[in-house]
Order: sequence, then C-alpha cells, then structure tokens
Amino acid sequence: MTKKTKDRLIDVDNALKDLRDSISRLDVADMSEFERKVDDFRQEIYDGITRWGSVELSRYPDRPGIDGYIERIFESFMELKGDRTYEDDPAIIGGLAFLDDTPVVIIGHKKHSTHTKDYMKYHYGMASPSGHHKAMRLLRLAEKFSRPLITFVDTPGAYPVPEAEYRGQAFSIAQCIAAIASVRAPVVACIIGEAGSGGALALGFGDRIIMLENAFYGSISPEGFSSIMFGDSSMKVSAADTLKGTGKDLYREGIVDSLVKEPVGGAHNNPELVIDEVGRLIRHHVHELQSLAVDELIMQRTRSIQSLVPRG
Amino acid sequence: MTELLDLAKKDGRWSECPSCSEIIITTKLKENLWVCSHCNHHFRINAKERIALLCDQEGFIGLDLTGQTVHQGGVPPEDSIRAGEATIDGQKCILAVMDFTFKGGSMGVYLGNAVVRVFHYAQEMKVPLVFFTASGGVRIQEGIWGLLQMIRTVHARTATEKIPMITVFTDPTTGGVSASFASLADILLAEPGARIGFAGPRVIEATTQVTLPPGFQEARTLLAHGFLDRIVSRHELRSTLSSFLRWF
Repeated sequence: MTKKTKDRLIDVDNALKDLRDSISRLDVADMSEFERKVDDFRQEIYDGITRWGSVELSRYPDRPGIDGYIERIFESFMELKGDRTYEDDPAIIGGLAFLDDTPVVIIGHKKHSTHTKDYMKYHYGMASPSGHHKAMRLLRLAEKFSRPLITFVDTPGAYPVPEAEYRGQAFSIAQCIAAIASVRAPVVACIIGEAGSGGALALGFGDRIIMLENAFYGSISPEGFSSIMFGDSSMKVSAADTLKGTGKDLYREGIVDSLVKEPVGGAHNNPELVIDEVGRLIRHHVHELQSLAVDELIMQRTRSIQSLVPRG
Repeated sequence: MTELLDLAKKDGRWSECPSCSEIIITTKLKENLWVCSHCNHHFRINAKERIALLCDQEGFIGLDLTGQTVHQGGVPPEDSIRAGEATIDGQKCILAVMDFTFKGGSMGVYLGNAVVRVFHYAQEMKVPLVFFTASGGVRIQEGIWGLLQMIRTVHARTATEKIPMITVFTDPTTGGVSASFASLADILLAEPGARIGFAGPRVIEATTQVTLPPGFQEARTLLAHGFLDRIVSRHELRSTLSSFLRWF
C-alpha cells in the first residue's frame, strides 16, 4: 500500500470519527449507512491495489507469519530441530502437531517471531542447505508414518551467503524439490507471504496449494528483475506486473487451488480471520487427500506437475 | 598494431583468452578444442561445437525436442538445447547439450518441455543420458512459469531415476538449473574453471558486504566440498565419458 493511499484512509477514518461524534451529539439516525459507504470506498481502494502493492503487503512486518498459523490452526505443536548432519537452520521451523485429531507434519519458513520481530536471528526466513535437509528429514517422517504434510512458504529466497554455497545450496534445493515431488504422503502447501525463487519452490509445491491474495510467488523479486533488465531497481513496479506473481494471478492461471481473500488493507488487519480461513481450507484439502489411495495420490500429483505449463 | 589486432579479433581470425589475455590464432584454438594452450582456460562453446568435438564420426542423430508445440507466427523453436542419439568413443547414449549463447541458457517453458522430452527419450530407448549444462538459471521474463519448470524437470528425473545419468557442468551453471534436474544425476562432472552455484556473486556480496575469495563457486571448490565426482579437462571428456558409459 502506498503512503498516499494509507494517508487517504487515515483521513477517511478521522472524518468518519468526527462525523460519528457529531451525529451522536445530535442523537439522530444510525450510522450504518455511513459506515457502509466508507467500507465501499475502502474496498474500492484495495480492489485497485497494484501488484507492487501486493509485494509490499507480502513483506509487511505485521503480516502474520508461520507462528501465528501454527498456534491457531494446530494443537500440541512439537518442534523438531536439526538436519542430523551439521546444524539447526533457524530459517526453517518444523515439527509434529495435530490438525483436530489428525497427526500431521508441519514445515515452513520462519521470518521472525511474532513477538520480537527478530529478523536477523532467523535470516529473514532464508533457508540454508541445512534448512532444506531438515525439511527433507521431516518429510521422510511424514512418509514413514503416513501423515499429511503441511508447508508454509514465507521467504525472499534461499540464503545468499558464501557458507550456503559451500554447503551446496543448489543441490539441497534440487533434492528438496525432488523429495516433495515424490513423497508418498499428502502435501498441502500454503503460500502466506513472500515466495521468492528456488528457496520458495523447495517447500512451495504440493498436492493442493493454498495462497493468500497478496502473497507474491516469483522466480525473482521485482527489484531483482528490474536490476537485471534495467541496471537498477527503479522499474520494480512494472517488474511486478511482468512477473504476475500475486495470489490472484496464480489462481487465475490455475496454479493454486485455493485463493484466500485478505481483509481490506491486508492480512495484518485481521490475522485471525485470514488464519481461520487458511485453517478451514487445510482441513478441507487434507480430508480430501486422505481419502485417496497413495498410488492414486502420486498419479494425480504426476499429472499436475506435468501440466505446469501455460494454458493455450 | 592495436588497430590491426582489433581487426583480426573482429573478423575472428585471432581470439583473446578471457583468462590470461593471450592472443591466439583461432584455428589453433579450435584445434585445441577451444582450450587456451597458455593457461588451460576452457572457452565457452556452443552446442553445435560441443556435439562436434564429443561424438564419433556420424555419431549424432538429432531428436525432436519441440513435440506438438505450435509455434506462434511460425517462429522456429529456440536453440537453447540440442539433443540426440549419440555415440561417444563407441558408447551409445542420449546426449543433451545446453547452449549458453542462446539467452544465457535460461530455462523457460520451452526448455522445460525439451528437458522433459530428453528424459522420456532416454527411458524409451533404455540408454544412459549425458547432460551438458550451461545456464544462468530460470528465465525470469516468464515469471512463475519459468520457476515451475524446476519442478517439472526434477520430476522428469525422479520419474526416470533408473536411467543412468551423467551431468557435465560447464561454465556457467547456476540458479534454477543447478538447483533442479542437473544436480540429480548419478555422476556429476565439471569442466575446469566452470562456475557452479545457486546465488549470483553480486547478490551474495550485496547481502554480506564481503568480497568473495578467488575460486568461489568454481569447479575445484565444489570438488573439495564434495559436490562433484571429478573435474575433466576437455581433452579427456570423450574417454572419461565412454568409460563411465561402459560401466552402466
């Protein structure tokens, strides 16, 4: 959301408050008509939100992250740590939990903790090879015990540091994608925020994909696209339009199965509403996928992977 | 003199080695398989040249990688990859070669389709697959569709995993290609000096504010960290590949 749009909304809110005060003093008719008009106006602004606006919302610091989803949708989350080879990657969080009575495995990017906003500690949700290996380890658990796997994607991309390259970033991403593509357990992927490049793809595919409307899934960030094509990030707004990576875009293309509408102004304006809707969709998809025999599940997944080309 | 040199470079008679700046007569360079005789720098070569220097006489029959795709406005399919039934030093295989000279070997939907077909051919014909990679990564102009080709090609590999596969990383292989089907081969080889990695050096330097050491993302560094089986000089590629192929 641009600052100008935000300022306009604040103006509207202030005007509304003044109006409400005046009217209550006058003790006249109810406010519902005014409220409705203001809501319509607000909706008009957000329906016209640009793709770049979505990119900004997808990164907004108050946007609900994986912690919020785990806490509200699942019960008894038991975090599991470490890749069993080298270290525990703070950018990937995972573990066991219950979805109502169904035991499930959860894996996702952790950008920050809800309370501290401590981005650095979690590498801004950018996974190292150890994070991808940890994800694969949890994925094997899901397969071994036939538990549905739920992934949450919220990352600018894989961690671009020398250490990650020395430890085989490219190899770990390839292996993680291969593991998800072939795991003999149902996978539901939830794209909740930024979903950048191969780092996002490592966890960003499943038998069903749920995506928030202002989440942004792309081969590169709009700034990166602009730098490569034009030498600097000045064309990021039009780059976002070229990349067409919002939830709405991907839903229109048939890449994601469920689109989650966000409240006016973005998911952070009513996190509970958004998380509950994501939870409802996860339950719906998990129940549907659990009714399939594993061979049928794999067959359907193969078909959907093979059809990942533009229609027409 | 400088003008003369520029002229000779321009019309291709002389070539300058990008590594040691030595001026080499192009015909000599070609005879030496496009390897600098002074510093052993391996020049980047296109798919056509690669196929010519690898295969036996008449040892390459091209395969159709376009399938049923209808090309918009009759534009011919792009030249970012070539593949065929090949004989290398007497050993049969499917040989696929990516071409960095065509849009940086970037992987979009066309290349994704072609790679999937290559795997299917290898499976149908029950012969090993030798894949020469060269790519800057996913074709970002195609947005999400470019990225999704990583899943398609990875899946094509996992679905045909019984087919022996040898990847030869050539300079450069980065981003969405190194992070997808290419690194899922049974044997991973590289040409000397090839840059192989995921993130671009500039992105890494911008993120960490450190200057990267020499050899960063170079084949020798990957070998030392356990991500390659062997670095093979261009002169030994034919014999090395054929002995691996014979084992399979």
